[in-house]
Amino acid sequence: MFTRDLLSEGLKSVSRQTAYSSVGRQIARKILSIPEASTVRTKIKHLGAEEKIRHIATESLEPGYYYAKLVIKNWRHHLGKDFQLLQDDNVVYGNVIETPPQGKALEYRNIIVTSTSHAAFSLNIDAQFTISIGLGAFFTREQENYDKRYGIRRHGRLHYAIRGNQKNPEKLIFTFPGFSTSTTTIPHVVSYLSGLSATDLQKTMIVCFQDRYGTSGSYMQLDNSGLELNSAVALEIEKIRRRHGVQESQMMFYGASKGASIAIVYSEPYPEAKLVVSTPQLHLGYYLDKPHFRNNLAKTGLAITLPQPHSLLRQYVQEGRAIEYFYSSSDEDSNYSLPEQLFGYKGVSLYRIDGSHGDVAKKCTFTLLNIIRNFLSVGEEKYVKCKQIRKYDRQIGSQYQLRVVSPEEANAGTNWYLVEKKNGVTRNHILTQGSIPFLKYTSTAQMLLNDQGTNGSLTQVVGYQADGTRWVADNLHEHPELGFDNAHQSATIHSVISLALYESMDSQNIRIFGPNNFSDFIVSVPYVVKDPQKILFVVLEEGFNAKVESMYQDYSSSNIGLVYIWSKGENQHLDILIKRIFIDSGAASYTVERRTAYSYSE
Amino acid sequence: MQEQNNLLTIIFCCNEKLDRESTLFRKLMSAKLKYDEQFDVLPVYGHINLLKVGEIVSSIKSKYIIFIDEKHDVSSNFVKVFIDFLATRTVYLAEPYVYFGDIPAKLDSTALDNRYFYSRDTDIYGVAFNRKRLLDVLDAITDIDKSAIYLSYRLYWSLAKTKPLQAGYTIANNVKAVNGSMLDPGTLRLVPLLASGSQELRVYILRFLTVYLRGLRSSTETLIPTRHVIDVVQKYNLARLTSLLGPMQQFEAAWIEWLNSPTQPNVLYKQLTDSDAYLRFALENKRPTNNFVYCIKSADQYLTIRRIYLPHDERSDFDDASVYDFYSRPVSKESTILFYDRPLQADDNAEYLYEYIMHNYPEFENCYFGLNPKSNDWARLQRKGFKLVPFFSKEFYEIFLESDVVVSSQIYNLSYKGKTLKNSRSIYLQHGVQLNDMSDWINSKQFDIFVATGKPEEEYIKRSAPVETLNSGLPRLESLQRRVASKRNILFMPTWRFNLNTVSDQQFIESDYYNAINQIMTDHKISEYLVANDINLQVKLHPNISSRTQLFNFSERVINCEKSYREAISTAEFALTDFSSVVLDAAFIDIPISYYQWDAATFFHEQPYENRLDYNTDGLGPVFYESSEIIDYISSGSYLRTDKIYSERKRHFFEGVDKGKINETIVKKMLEL
Repeated sequence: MFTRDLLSEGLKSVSRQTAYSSVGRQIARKILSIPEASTVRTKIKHLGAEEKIRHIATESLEPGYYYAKLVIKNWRHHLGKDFQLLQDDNVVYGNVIETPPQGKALEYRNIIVTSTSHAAFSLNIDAQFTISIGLGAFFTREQENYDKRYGIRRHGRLHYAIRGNQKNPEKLIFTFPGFSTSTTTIPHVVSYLSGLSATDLQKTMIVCFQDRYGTSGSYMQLDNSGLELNSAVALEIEKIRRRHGVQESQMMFYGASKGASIAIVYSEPYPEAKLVVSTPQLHLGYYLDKPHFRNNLAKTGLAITLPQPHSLLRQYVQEGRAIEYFYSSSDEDSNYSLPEQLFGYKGVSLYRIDGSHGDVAKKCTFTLLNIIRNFLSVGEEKYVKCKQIRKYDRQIGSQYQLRVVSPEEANAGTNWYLVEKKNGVTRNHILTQGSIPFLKYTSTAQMLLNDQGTNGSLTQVVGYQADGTRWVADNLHEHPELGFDNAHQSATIHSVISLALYESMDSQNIRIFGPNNFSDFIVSVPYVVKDPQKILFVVLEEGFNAKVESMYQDYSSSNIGLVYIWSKGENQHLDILIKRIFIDSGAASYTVERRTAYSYSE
Repeated sequence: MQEQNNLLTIIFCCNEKLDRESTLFRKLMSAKLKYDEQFDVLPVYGHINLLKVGEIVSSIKSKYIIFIDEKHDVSSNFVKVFIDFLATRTVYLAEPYVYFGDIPAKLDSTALDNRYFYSRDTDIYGVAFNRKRLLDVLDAITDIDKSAIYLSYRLYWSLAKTKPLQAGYTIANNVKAVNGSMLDPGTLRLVPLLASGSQELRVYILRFLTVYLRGLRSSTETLIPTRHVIDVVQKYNLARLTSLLGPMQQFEAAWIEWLNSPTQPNVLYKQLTDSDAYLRFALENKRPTNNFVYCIKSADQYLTIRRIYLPHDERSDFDDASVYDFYSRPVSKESTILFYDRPLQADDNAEYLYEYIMHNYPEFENCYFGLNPKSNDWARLQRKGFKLVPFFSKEFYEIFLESDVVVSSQIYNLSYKGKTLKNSRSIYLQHGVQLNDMSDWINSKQFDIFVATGKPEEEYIKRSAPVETLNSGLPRLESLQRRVASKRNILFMPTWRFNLNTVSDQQFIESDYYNAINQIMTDHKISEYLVANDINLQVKLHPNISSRTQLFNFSERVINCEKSYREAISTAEFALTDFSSVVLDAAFIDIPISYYQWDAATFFHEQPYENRLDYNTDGLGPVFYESSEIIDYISSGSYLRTDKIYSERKRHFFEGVDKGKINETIVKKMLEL
């Protein structure tokens, strides 16, 4: 126990170096572990020293490393521009200038630097800025209030909140957070699953991890000193599981976006556990290769040194793990073309949601709550009727319109899906609720491709209600509209289950699901070179119908790979796709040639 | 006009003479007890136009002026509330809550929303204008109609919002909204084109425009250039508000859609089974000879409106998965079908068709009949095994939503969760054969089948709806039979006069209408004939005057008939009316009929429609104009003599109707929809 005198005197007299030393940090952490209502904490608060102590208690860096906070003043003139913060000639941070929250400065906190001299820092854009440098991490008042509100506490190098039954839980849910917006004052959030009540959690404990590292998190792989966290997180999870004696099969790992990637990584030791993920970034190197991350997270080596979610996921589906996977066909950055290939694997339920990356988790909130409530207890299944189905044939696929007659109670807080089955497993295509209660349809962004939903594989309409009820219309077989239709089979061979994209091509055409929904790219590899030195990409405009085989010779003897890509005009994701194939191929370099129909004549 | 110099002048507008006994006048004058110095009531007579308003406003001295029409009504606190308010401040405008029906007891409960704004008449009546500011407006704006003064005043002084005082004003009926308005000759603009973002004013302008367009369909002539009307629609962005338009105004809704985008000539009017009905608008320099629904002459051009049928793929939402096509499911035994007659009264064509299907198509298990549970017919239909659903209840609307077709003798603008009669199937059975020219009414309606009775009516309806008309005859006629009653009966069924809606009982008794009917009821020659032959004169008054029944002189032989129309007709040996089509049911089963039209010269002036048939050349019985003629005709028993002329006219009139297959014909057509 510390007396007021000791504390006061100590804080005044010890040097900054001492305060931020290992001993000072231990003392500060000890203080913060005392209950908030205690006399000591009250007095500290009264002295106005709480923030200082919290500062000291946060993660300290190795000697010679410091935290920096960058504030850009006249950001309005530079909106949308990339910028870099340089320490001497080295880039220490970079991002894209975005509008900060109303009334707030544009701040980037907890940039790791090696100099305390302000003069050493400059921006590569003509913007006014200030930089603060210190030994303690920078957190906003809003972040501190947030931590307090959700009861987030430090546990060694980790931070998490605990909900539900903390004494004798029979089930455990581990949640992992996604990114906040890059300019937010609360960059380190938790996935609290606030839709679940205390009643829901009578027998369940939820551990909500916080990715409290760097400016916006590190996929919970590295701490601020750049030391790996992987084993610490894995140990903590196992420690919690053992403490409560929870069976592996009674564990669930959940996350959305970045949180989903983390969930995939940390569920690895638990093949019996349930994995619920929404739009995970499957290949971090691929995903982080963009201006927002290029000069910060991408530089940490996350993409190279750590197990990548896509390879873990491939392993999991081979093992037959229970996976609920939410994704959007418009989210190739995250998808890495993998979700479509998971269809048909035992244990995998796919939920295909229309909308952008950020829309998916929001759109399927009811489904998520339904899945969790069914994990916590057995939900009710009720039956409704699908009275009518209409199929709208489009060039690249079909839309479906359904008339599902259900009681009024079924329509509140429910996500409806058109269910496609293969090998007994499901792919759920989310349905948009029409203005008329019985009307549900697949939106234009949710069109089923020509190879989806054929052969009578559309079997059910299911409504996932947040309270755990599932509304099932299983009379789709009564509707002849869903029969196999040869006329709409595409000549293109669609994605096959294979992992490394480049290697999988093997002289086939592969359709790549891109951000503009469907078949944004068709990729063809005339021959495969193992471990190529270089890849030549030939980008052909859509409609280019010349025989491409004759365009370029076989360069395999020169150890050069050749990849044809048909693209729908200019597409910002083309570069990403090229990089992705390049990364998969393991080649040292690549070149790109663009060919239009006009430029080619036989 | 006498010199005034007080706070408020109420201009009391009378048609001919001041009815000092009227409730309204007495209400206004009673405020004199307390506020004698603050206001005066000045009667003015005859039609008021813009010029006359200018003269009135110039001739008085009071600070404020209110116009009140003798046919309207006010809450009893009206004058008090206005004077208390106006005496303590200077304002541009003060206004009451304005209604077209009864003034509610609690004015506060009236939500000031778009529905209120759209139902509020915006003529000059009921509001207190600042007189000098009104003069300013009348000096500045000289080319509008009197009925646009209120709107123009608000636009001119940018009065975007007003808060009504705790007083009520009612224009007592909504006939103008139904029949449209006729603007004074010389009107060149609807309203001044002054910027306003006020939603309230935009809705008012929409109503004003809609009523004007409706009137234009009748007058077919205007001095207002189409360009100006387009400017009004576009400036005030009215096309975005057309969902407020009522059941009678769907034609105007389409018209406004065209005015908003005049380069798009075709406006979808009604989805149908084989093709869709559109209104095609075109501005032409010469008057076309034919082939149009309307041809409206404006300042320098002719606006023609044609009804055309185009393939489904012309529809913008065709092939759109987010839009449900209510025609995508055929009418079958699985279908839900909703039937209804009037909410409080069945016993009409929908009931008869429902019953026919119940007995002949028992596999149609999802037929429902809409009726108000307070209706006298509720228990009767329940006993018959009808599946009844309370009219306009949630269940009613849910059944409407689920239904594949609506079958009714009454048209309501059903609209529920995106389903309307525009985008779904409906069969209109009518209440009776149309003897009057109701083309404007037909053109306003949206239906898939319009049931006609006989070739002449078929041809007349086909002019408005060539594809939709079905000459099957009315369902109720199929089972209608002449019955021998225990007592001989003559049936008298006079119809209604719109101009007597709001008059006092005293004025009603003084009306020609009352006197003509009552004369028949009390004539001694007829009375003697009835007694001598042991006949009763059954008088079936129109439902609109049921509250005035006691004013008529019923007697032992002259009976207020409370039987259903069907029962009354089938047991009558002679049926008499003035203009009602109900007697055609009698003619259909060969009961002699006759017309007594004491006000034939003026009847159609007061009605919202015009005569379609010449009763003298097409009528199914003789026509009389003088009371002495009809009295002689009845008291001499002449009505019992068969006349070949009328037999031949009947044959022609009902041509094409297969009496034994009326319902079957309709059901077959329904199954093809």
